[in-house]
Amino acid sequence: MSPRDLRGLLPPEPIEIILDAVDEGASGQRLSFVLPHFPGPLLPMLRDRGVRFDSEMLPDMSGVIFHVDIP
Amino acid sequence: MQAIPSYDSAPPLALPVRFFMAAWVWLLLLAGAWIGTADGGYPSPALWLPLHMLALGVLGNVMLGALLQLLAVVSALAFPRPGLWQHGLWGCWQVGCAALALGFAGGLSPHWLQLASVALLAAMGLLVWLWWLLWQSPAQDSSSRGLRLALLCLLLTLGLGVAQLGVFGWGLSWPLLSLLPLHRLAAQGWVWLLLVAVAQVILPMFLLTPALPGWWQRWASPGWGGLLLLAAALSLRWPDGGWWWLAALPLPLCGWVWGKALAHSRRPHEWLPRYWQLGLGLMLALGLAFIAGQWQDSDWLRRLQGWLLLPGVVLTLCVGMLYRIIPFLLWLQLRRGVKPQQKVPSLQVLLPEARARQGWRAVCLWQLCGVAWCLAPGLWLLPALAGTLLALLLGWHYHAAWRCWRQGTQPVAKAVPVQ
Repeated sequence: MSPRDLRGLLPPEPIEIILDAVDEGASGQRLSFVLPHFPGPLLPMLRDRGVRFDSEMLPDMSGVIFHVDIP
Repeated sequence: MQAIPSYDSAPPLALPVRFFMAAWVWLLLLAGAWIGTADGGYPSPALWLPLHMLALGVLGNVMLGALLQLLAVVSALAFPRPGLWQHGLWGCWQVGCAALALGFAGGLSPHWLQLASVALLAAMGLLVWLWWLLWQSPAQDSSSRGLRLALLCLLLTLGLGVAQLGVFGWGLSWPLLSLLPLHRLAAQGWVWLLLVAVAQVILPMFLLTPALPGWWQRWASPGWGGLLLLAAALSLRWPDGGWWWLAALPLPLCGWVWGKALAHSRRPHEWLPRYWQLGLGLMLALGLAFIAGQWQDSDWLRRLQGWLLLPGVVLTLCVGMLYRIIPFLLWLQLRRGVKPQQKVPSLQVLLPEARARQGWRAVCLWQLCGVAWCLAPGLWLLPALAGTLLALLLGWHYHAAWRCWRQGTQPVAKAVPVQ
């Protein structure tokens, strides 16, 4: 599944969308999002939920792909 | 192996907010500082009073608060002892500002200036440590590199300012005429390099512009810093050469880069771009005022240059960013501590867009009144009244946002089943 592009949304909309997706997702599911930058403020909230995450830079450096693994 | 930044150490909400609130108090107090500026003479303690209340009290507090927040989010800087910054840096900064203001208000009263030098030196010590932490941070992005240079310029500004206090307060025989232009150049470095570094993050994040060009991200801070260094060296060698234009040389380019990014914003009709457009207009006017300063040396032009830089460009951008950052920080705090059944109020509820637009109109009025004062210093009452109006408006808006945040932090009452 291609990552959901959240660029073009004003903060905190991307944070809300990712948290909602995590809360509603199935255990073991891996979700991916495209963001304009590394989502520093989101990380503590993901850690509180026990969610693991990693990220990679887009090839053209215009943003990051952010992956979350729902526990 | 290169270390990977850890972005988990965001400072507590109280850290940046404390600085922002102090800035508001200084803006309110600033109204009383204009009274001595009626003769418009510069340099004079009467003009240094509002200048330093604005530069250190209002803008210094906002910029320090934003810097501390940004260092955590962008440069992954940990704040293991937030109390040290929350009380130590904040307290030293406020005591230093207050003592400096009282020293200038008392016509260079040595005791107050001595106290100011001690407090600002203590603040400087903490900022040296902050700079060291930032230097050691593994974050190597262009914004972090720019923040390092900006913080270095702040340290130079403080050091040169404290050295001048050594002359006025402690009676040391240091070369004041060399220290003053260097202090002004270093202050410009702190302001511009911070804005350049912050804009690289803020424009794409909050104004949804494309990323700024790679060459700008890479070279803007070191290039601008290099020009300031050159201007400083030339000012020392040929003091009457009027080398200020070197510091202003990147202004048109910076305005073009930011303006081009704003033109491609995905939300051009939002309220925040208006603040940036006003800031860009003032920046253009500042560039013209610097050019005019090469041909004409007059008091009103020097006042105008000072006004367009600090109360003009910087204050406009600071007020705009506070309208975005304060509700965002409040929201973030609420969202982290959210309990089941609790609903987090949106940014729009915390600080409605209409209020940010009111703030913009108050800033426009402030600019008009300030320019009028530059042309005719006898009209000092105009910036005093416009500044008070702006401070009262901001105070009302912040208080409403705080009340909304307080309601959001209250525990939800359990529903009682109907028998």
